[in-house]
Amino acid sequence: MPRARLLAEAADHLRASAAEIAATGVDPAAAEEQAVVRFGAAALLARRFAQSVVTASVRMALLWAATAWACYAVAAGLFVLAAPSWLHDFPQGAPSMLGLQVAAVALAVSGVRVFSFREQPLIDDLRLRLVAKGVAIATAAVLAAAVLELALALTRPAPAPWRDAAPIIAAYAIGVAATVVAGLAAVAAAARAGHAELAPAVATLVDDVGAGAPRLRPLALWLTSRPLLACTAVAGLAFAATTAVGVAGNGLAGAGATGALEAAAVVIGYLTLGRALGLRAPRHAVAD
Amino acid sequence: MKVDVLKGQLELVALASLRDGPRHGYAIIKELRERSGGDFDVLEGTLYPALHRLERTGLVTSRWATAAGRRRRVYELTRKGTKALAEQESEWRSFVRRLDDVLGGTA
Repeated sequence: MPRARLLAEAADHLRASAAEIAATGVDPAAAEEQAVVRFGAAALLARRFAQSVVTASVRMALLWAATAWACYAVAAGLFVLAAPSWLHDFPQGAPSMLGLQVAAVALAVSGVRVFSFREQPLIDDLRLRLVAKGVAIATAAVLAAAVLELALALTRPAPAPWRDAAPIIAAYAIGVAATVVAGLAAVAAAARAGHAELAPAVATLVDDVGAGAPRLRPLALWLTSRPLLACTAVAGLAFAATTAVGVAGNGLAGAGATGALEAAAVVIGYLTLGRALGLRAPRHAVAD
Repeated sequence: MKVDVLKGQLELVALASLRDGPRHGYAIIKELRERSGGDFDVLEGTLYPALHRLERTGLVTSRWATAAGRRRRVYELTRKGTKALAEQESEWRSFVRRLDDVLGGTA
C-alpha cells in the first residue's frame, strides 16, 4: 500500500473537514484542531493499517506454504511409490518424511487459527504472529528436508543412473521452487508481523478449534491442558504406526528402530517448536 | 449514541454509500453522518483502512480524480462489490429482524 497515497488521502480529508467546520463560523485554527480530533489519533490509525496489511500478508504466506507443501508431498509420494530400487536406501527419503510431518503440524495449527477468522477482515495481533511463525517453520522444514535430500543424493557412494529417476527429480524441482516462493512470502509476512506495532491480544488454540469445529473443542481443551501426556500419546501412536507399517519389509527390529526415530522426532519437534507454534505455554507464563 | 456496533460494519456502510456512484472518503463519511442524523460519528480516519481492504479484496476500485482543482481518491463499487453488498445487506437485515423478534419476545 503506497504510503504517499495514504498521506494524500488523509491530507485531503483533513482539509475538507477543516473547511466544513470553519464554514460554520468556527475559528480556522480551532477548525483544524477539531478536524484532527474527528479523524483520529495517528498511532491508532497506523496500527489499523498495519494490522490490515499484516493480515493480508500472513494469509497469502499461508496459502503459498500450503501449496508448496502439497507440491513437495507429491514429489515425496512419487519417491515412495515409483522411485527405482537403487534410490530406495535409507536415509534417502527420511528427511522429506520428517520435514513434511513437521510442516504438516505447523500448517495445520496455523490453518486452524486463520480459519477461525475466515469471515473477518482482520486477524488479531497475537494470532498473526503465531501464524507467521507457523508458516516460517513449515517452509523452513520443507526447505531443510529438500537440502538434506539433495546432499544425500549428491554424496551417494556409487554412481547413480539419474535418468531413471527423471519424473521424481522434476517433481522435486517443482516442490523446491514452490517452497522457495513460499519461503519468501513467509519471510515477508514474519518481518511485517514482527515490525508492525500491533495491539496485544490473547489467542488460544482451543478457541480456534472451537470456532471451526465446536465438537472438537472439549478434546482440544483436554489435550492442551495436558501437553506432556498429549505429546507422549502422539509419540506412542507414531511409534506404533511406523513400526506396524515397516515390520513386513524391515523386520521387527528395523521397523522398531524406525518407529523409535519417528517417536523421538515427535518429542523433539514438540520441545523445540511447540512454543513458537503456541502449542506450549510461553516461557514467562510458566515462570509466573 | 454509542456506535461501537458500527465498528464491525464500517465496510458494509462504505459499500452501501458507494451504491449510488463513485465517492471519495470524505463524502462517504459526510453521507454517513448526515443519513444517521449525526448519530454515527466514527473516527473518520478508520474509514481508509476499510476502503483499502475492500480494494484489496476486489470489492471496490479507486482512481485519482480532480474536481474544483483538488485531486482526490475516488472509490467505486465493482460487480463483485455490488454482489457482496447485496449479500451483506440481506444478512444484516435478517439479523436485525431476528434481534427484533428476540427483543420483542422478552419485552
